[in-house]
Amino acid sequence: MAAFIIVLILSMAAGCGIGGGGLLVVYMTLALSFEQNAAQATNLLLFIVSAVSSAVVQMKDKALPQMKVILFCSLAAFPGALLGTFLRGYFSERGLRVFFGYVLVFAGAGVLLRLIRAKLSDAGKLK
Amino acid sequence: MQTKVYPKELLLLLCVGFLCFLGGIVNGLIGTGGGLFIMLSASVIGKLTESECDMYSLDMMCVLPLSLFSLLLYPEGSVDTDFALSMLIPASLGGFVGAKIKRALDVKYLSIIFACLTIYSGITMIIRA
Repeated sequence: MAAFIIVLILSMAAGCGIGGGGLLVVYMTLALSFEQNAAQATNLLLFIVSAVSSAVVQMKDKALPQMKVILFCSLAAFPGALLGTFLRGYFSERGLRVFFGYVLVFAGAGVLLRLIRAKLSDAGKLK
Repeated sequence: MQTKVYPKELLLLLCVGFLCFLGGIVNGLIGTGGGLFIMLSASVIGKLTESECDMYSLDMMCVLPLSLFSLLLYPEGSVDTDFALSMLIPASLGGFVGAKIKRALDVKYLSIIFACLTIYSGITMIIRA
């Protein structure tokens, strides 16, 4: 039941576009004792499900960005994903977890900094 | 609005491409986190297309095909199918509700909560590794 509620909340965050996949990986590895790779792959599958569900709603609401923008960003990201997958083979389980932890810290800090910057910009303190 | 790409804007376009490429590397490597870089590119895209770019929608829509691609690159049997199947309902329901409440809620405040949780989880992950 706890897993159901956690996945529901994190999928809602993913549906909003905030993210939450990282937290699901943490939950699966630390609370459910998944191996890092299994947690990552399972998280990807669950993210796809929630993102498709969210995209259908946003498509009806016409709230999606221009298709050419999505296509450009996706096509630019694909070679990176290939490289990332290739690099994954060089990481140990522990190394992958540590790297993952650092990415989470930087991701969270990045979001906070961007929001602070936007707030300051709105207040006219930053150009 | 029609996207206009001039030589002087090529640098911005390359910047967006590079950020998305970095996002791809991170997503391929750890199965998440790619959206961070794609969100960073949203403001540059806004300048290029001369229209406001919703970074949250952009993040989700770009990470969706990227995640599908990344998942296909995982070795067979990586996904815990029993867990994934049992979580299909909350995942799809969550995505649906998230999209519905997105406009009603101030996503900025939710982002702050999630950012704090993400930092805490990251530190926990590093310590426990």
